[in-house]
Amino acid sequence: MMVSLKGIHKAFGDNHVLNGVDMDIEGGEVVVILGPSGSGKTTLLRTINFLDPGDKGSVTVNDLTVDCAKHSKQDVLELRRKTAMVFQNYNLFANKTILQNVTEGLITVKRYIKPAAVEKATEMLKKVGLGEKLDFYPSSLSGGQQQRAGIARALVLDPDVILFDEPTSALDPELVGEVLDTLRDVAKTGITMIVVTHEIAFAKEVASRVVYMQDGIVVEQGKPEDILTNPKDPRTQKFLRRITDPGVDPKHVDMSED
Amino acid sequence: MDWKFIASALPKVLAAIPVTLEMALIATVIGWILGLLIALARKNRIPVVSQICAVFVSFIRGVPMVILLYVAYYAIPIALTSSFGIDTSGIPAIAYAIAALCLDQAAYSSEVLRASLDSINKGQLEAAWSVGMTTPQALRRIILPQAFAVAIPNLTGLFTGLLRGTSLAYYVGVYEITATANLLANPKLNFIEAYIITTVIYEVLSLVCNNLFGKAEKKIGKFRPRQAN
Repeated sequence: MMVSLKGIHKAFGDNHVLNGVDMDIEGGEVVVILGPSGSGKTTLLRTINFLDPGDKGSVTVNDLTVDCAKHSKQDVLELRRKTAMVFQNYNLFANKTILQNVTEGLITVKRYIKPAAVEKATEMLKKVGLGEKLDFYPSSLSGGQQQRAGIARALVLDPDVILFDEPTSALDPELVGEVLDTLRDVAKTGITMIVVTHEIAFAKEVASRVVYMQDGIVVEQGKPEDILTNPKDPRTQKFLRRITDPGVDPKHVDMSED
Repeated sequence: MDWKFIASALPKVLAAIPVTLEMALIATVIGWILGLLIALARKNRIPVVSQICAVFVSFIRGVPMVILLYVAYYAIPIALTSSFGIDTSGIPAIAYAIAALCLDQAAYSSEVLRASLDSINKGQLEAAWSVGMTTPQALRRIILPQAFAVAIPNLTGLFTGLLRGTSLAYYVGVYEITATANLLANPKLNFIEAYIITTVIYEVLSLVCNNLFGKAEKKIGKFRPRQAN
C-alpha cells in the first residue's frame, strides 16, 4: 500500500470538514477526487502532508505512519519528504527563477550538489516544455507555464505520491489544456497521484479510480467508467447531473434541493 | 559669511564623519537583527515574549530620542555597577549612544519587517514545506528574501532618519559631525557657517545612502513584477 488514510477527522472550529475518511491507494494509482465545493476534498489532500493536520486518524505513506492527533515535527518533515504537492495557485517561490524553483528542493532537502541538481531540473523542465524559460522569474510567466513549473518542482523530487490540489482551477480557460496535457504525461510515468479536480473528462480518461466526496465523507468510489457513467448513490448522480450541465460553473456546483 | 572659518573648519568636521557612520552602521546591524527577531516573535505569537516585545516597541516609540540617549547614558552605568559591580568608567560615551540608537532601530524596524512579513503569501511557506524544507530553511531561503525586498524602501527611510538621529549623540558628549562643528563655531560664534557645513554633509551622506539602498533594492527585488523607478 502506497498511501493509507484511516479515520481522518478535521474540524475548523464548529465546521466539521472531514468526518472519518478511509482510503487505501496502491502504488501507481491515479486517484481523482470529485465533489462539490465544501465537500472536504482539498482539506483531505492537505491532511496527507499535514499542511492542515487532521484532528483524529492516521496517515501512512509508503512505510511511514503518522498519527494525526499526536505527531512530532520530525514525523511531519519525513512525511512531507515522501510527498509533493501541486497547488491551485501554483505557489512558485517568487524570489527564485523557474530553474531555481525546481533545484531548490533537490539542493536543500535532497542534498544534491548544484551541478547535478541543475542538470536534473533542466531535464525535468524540458519535459514540461519550459526549457526556454529557465532563467525567468515566475511573475513573468503565464498561469499555465507557472503550473507546469509547479508540476516539475514536485516531480523532480521523486516523491512516493504527488498531491494535486485543483491544478487547473485558477487558470484561464485557454490555458487549462496545456496543464492537463502535462498531467497526462505525468500519469503515464506510473507515479502515484491524488488529484482533486473539477475536470470530469480528465477524470474519465486518466483516473484509475474516482472518489466522490460530499459532506466530509467518501460517498462512493470505483473505476471511472462505473462512477462517472453508472453512479449508484443518488448524491453522486445528482452531482454529475449538475456538473455536466453546460449552464453550471463546475467549480461551484450547487447541491441544494431542487 | 566667514569663508576662512569654513575653509579651516571643513576638514575637521569631515574628519568626524567616521564617528557618525560608526554609530549609524552598528545601530543598523544590531538594531535590525533585533527588529527581525521581534517581528518573528510577534508574528508567531510566541506567548509572553510576544507581549513583552509589543510593550517594548510601544514604549520605545513613545520616548523622544534625546531622552532615550540620556537614559542610556545615565541609567546603564548605574545599572551595570549596582547589579554586576562592573566598573563603567572605561566605557566611552559613544557606546551608550549606540545602545540607545540600537533600541530605537529595533523598535521601528520590527514594525516595518512585521508588515513586510505579513505581505508574503502563506502559500510560499506551504510550498516550501511541501518540498520538504524545514521552517528555518523556508524562512532563510524563501520568506525573508521576499520580505526584505518589500521592506527596503521603508528601511531606507529608517536609515536616513538614523543618520540624522546620530547628531543627538552630541548631548551625551560624542564628537560626531554636529558636536565637532558646534565646538569649532563656539569661540567666534560662527554658528551659521558651522550649520551650513553640517547641513551639506548630512545631505551628501543621505544622498549617497539613498543611492546605495536604491541599488540594493533593484538587486534584491529583481524578481518582483513591477518595480518603482
